[in-house]
Parts: sequence; C-alpha cells; structure tokens
Amino acid sequence: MKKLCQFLLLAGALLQDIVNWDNDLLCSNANITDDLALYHLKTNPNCRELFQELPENVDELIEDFVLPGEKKSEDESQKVEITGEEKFKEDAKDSTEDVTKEDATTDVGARKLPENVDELPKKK
Amino acid sequence: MDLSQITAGLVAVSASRNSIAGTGSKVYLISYSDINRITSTVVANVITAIVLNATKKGYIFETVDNSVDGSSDLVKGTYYSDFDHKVPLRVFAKTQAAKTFVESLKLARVVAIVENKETGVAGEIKYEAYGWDAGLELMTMKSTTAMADKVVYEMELGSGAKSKETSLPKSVFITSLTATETMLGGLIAQ
Repeated sequence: MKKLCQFLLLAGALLQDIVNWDNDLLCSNANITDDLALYHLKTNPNCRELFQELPENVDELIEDFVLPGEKKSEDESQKVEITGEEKFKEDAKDSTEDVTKEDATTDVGARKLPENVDELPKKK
Repeated sequence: MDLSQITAGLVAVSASRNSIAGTGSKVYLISYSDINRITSTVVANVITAIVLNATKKGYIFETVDNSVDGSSDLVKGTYYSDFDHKVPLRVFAKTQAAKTFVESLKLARVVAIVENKETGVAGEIKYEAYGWDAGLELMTMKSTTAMADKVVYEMELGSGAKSKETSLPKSVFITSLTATETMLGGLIAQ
C-alpha cells in the first residue's frame, strides 16, 4: 500500500533541485514523499507557495530535516555514536559504580539513630 | 506601428532525418479555468510551467496510438491573423463512463496537451498544448451504432468561433524531457 504523504503540491507544480540540479530530486505530485518535500522546502523556502497541503508542524520538520551530507550538531552526533553495545557497557559501568559507593557509605541492616536520642522519652 | 517584419531565418530541412509523424496514446486535458495564469509561465511560446489552482487537477484521455491528430490552421483576418486549433478525440469503448465523459465535454472549455511521436533534439517538442490561449470547445460529436473502424464516439475539440489562438500549439518543455514528464504526471496525480 502506498504510504500517505503529508505534503501535497498544486497540480502541475514541479520542484527542481536548485542545489545540484539533480533529476532524481525532481518532485511533483506524481512522486512526492515527505523527505523529498522537506528537502525542497529546506533548500528553497520560496517553493512553499507551490504547496496546497502542509503538515501543521512543517517548520519543526524542516528544522529537523538533515540534508544529505549535512552533519548533525555535536551533541546529536555524540548521541548517535554511543549506541548498542557501548551504551550497554556504559550503563552497566555506571550502575556498578553506584552500588559500590552505596555499599561503602551505608551500614546495611543498622538503623541510624537521631542525634537527640538521649532526650527522647524512654519506654516503660 | 510596423508589425510586418521578421527577425530570423530558418533551415527548413534536417540533413540527418525526417520528422516523425503521428501521436502517442495520451492526451492531457485541463479545464481552461483551472489554470493559474500567474504561476504558469510561457517563454517565447514555450510553456515552461503549468500550475493549476488549489484543489484542481488535470485528467488523462488514453486512446489508441495515432488516433489523435492535432492540427492548426491560419485564420486570416482583415487586420490580424490568428490560429485555429483542432484536436479530434476518438473513443473506442462503448461504456457508461465513456458516455458520461462525452457529455461532460459539451459545455467544457479545455486545454489539450498532445503527445507527439516527434520529440525534437532534447524532447522539446514532444508535448504540445492546443488551446492554451483561449481554450478548446467541443465542436462536433458523432456517434453511430455501426462503429466503423471500431470508433464509438468521434469528437472534435476546436477553437471557438470568437476566440482563436495567438500562435501555433505551444510546446510544453521544462528544462528536460524528464522534468516535463514529471510535471505532467503531477498534473493528473492526487
């Protein structure tokens, strides 16, 4: 089943790649996809007037859209790098460290008495 | 004002090959009033962008190869001359949908983009728009149960008596044949 696209151009409107004039990035209602529409909206904001339907959060989507060859911001790329096994190891290491610290500082099984213990009324 | 001068010559034969006669099987039909004339562009009688108004779309008429033969004639006036465009459409299937289609053309005014067999060097004349300036009306329609040559309905779209065209059928070409065909696909999609 064809995936529904959130974008719809005016009939006949043709978006051309103004960066590399790549024919593979030609876009009309015949071949439009979300990614293709976002590519054109990001590289050529003036083409917005050729759309008859845009999602409500289009500005957000354009902001988040990463162009081919474009690097993500530093924080995001670090997040991407730490994945899978490394992430698991890091989590495991953190939790081990926490447990060790807790063991060293806590008297397991002993209740800590309040400082004014002598002033408290004693049970008969 | 002198309008009588020409500004260029022409080599009227091709040494490499003859032009190919005939048309393909597709005709793109657009309601004349659906065309956004501000965003659609024509440069030197070549249509370089066709954009329709919001919510509108074009339609395709698919038929037998060479059954559509577009033509244009000069209409000589006393002071000015114009062109008369004609596009016959032949329907080979007797169905209710065909009848509805024929009836829908009765009062319609359309632009017809015809697919030529001749493409030119880079595809620049593969598609030509008939009736771009003033639209085409249904001029004649013939239907017989004899169905000679299997033709069920024979219609002719043509320039109206009062509104003719300013030029020969305009070529539809947007930088490349691929771009042109992507645009044409976008006219009828939705």
